[in-house]
Amino acid sequence: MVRAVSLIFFACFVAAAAAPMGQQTVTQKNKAFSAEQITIKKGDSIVFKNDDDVTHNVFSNSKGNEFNLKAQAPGAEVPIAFKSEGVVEIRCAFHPKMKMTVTVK
Amino acid sequence: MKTLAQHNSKSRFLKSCAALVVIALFAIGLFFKQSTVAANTGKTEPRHNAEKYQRPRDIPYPKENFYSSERELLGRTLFFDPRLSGSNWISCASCHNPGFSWGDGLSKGIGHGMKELGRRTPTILNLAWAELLFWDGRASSLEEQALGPIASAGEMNMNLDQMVGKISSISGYQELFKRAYPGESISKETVAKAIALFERGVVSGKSPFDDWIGGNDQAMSAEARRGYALFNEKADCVKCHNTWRFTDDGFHDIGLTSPDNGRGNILKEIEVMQHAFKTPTLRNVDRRAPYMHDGSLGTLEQVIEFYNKGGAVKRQSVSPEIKPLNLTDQEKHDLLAFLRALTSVDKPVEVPSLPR
Repeated sequence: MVRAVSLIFFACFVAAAAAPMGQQTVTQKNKAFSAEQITIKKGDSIVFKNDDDVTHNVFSNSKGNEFNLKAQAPGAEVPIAFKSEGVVEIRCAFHPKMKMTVTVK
Repeated sequence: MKTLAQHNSKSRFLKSCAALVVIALFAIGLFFKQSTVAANTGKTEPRHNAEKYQRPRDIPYPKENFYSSERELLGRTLFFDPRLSGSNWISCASCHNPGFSWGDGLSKGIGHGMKELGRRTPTILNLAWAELLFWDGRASSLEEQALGPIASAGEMNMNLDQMVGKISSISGYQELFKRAYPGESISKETVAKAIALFERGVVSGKSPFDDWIGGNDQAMSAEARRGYALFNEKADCVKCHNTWRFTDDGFHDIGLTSPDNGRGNILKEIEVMQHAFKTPTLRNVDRRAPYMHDGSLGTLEQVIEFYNKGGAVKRQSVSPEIKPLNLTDQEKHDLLAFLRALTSVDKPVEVPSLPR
């Protein structure tokens, strides 16, 4: 029992150490983002990972945080830093039903 | 004390019982084994992704334009009324003809002054679940879409303020609007809401495919059942034509030769949206020839051949999902049979009496 708890704590420690501070991962799976709404700090990054079997093109036209990941093949992951405060609307150009909002504070 | 004879008798009885139990277990095992074999080899067809093709129970009407029969009647009446056009001659139904599965059967639409339009008329089937409207997705709701073709100089060529005046002057419409949207005036907005509400109710009925996916093995032919497997696997049509409506509501450049920039006119900075167009539904698709946004392919056979070759042109914007499929003639035949199994036999559409 003690060993199992220790292992769980160790796994959590490794996971926390693996993700840089101020960085979260959002996956694209089954033509949906893993989160619809995220709040982050100005300057933080989100890693967009395509866990789907189709190509995605994640982008935002929200002023101050515009970006375009271009065609993102299955398995690819790209970090994006959010430099301006505000609400950022994110879409997939191929699949407009994929929507998420990032609030940068 | 038991005698030896009694003991032997009991022993024989127990042995007999044990033998019967063994036989019974063997028989049960054989039964289940045979059932599994039957399921794997014959009568029960695999239904990949079956849960993704279930038809919804209800039509999603937005709360700001909730359904009522009075609204449906008003929307239907406006949809079929040619007086919504500048010429008093073209109605929404002129292009979205229910007899052609809510299309017009032409390679390009015909608008005001009998002039040919730039794109094929898309069907209005099953749009209640759509995300963006028009081939290039420039409208985000049916309410927003409804007035576009009316106001377009090339299509119905009707000034929207004049349209409101014209409709308001028809006494029969005053009563229809009063019942449908009590407390609201006859306006561009209420016209758009009524037409949008009617369009949400245009839903394709159950097809042989729906019966098959629901468990009736005989509802589709063997060819169509093989076509379904191809659709989901080797041909991979499901990458874009998914959900019960057989569309991802997405936009893709599939490699047609048309110079039309499509979605690229809206999202100019996104490379893969150049020459991209909305994925159309495949429901009742065999009733809507010709095909593609430009009507350039006359038959479903030509459509399958187009995709089998991996499109007609190569350019940076062509979707990575478009690639040669290497289908055999038999596989093309099976895929076609499956597409034809998506067609429903729907009730005749009621054309309303127009108010005077």
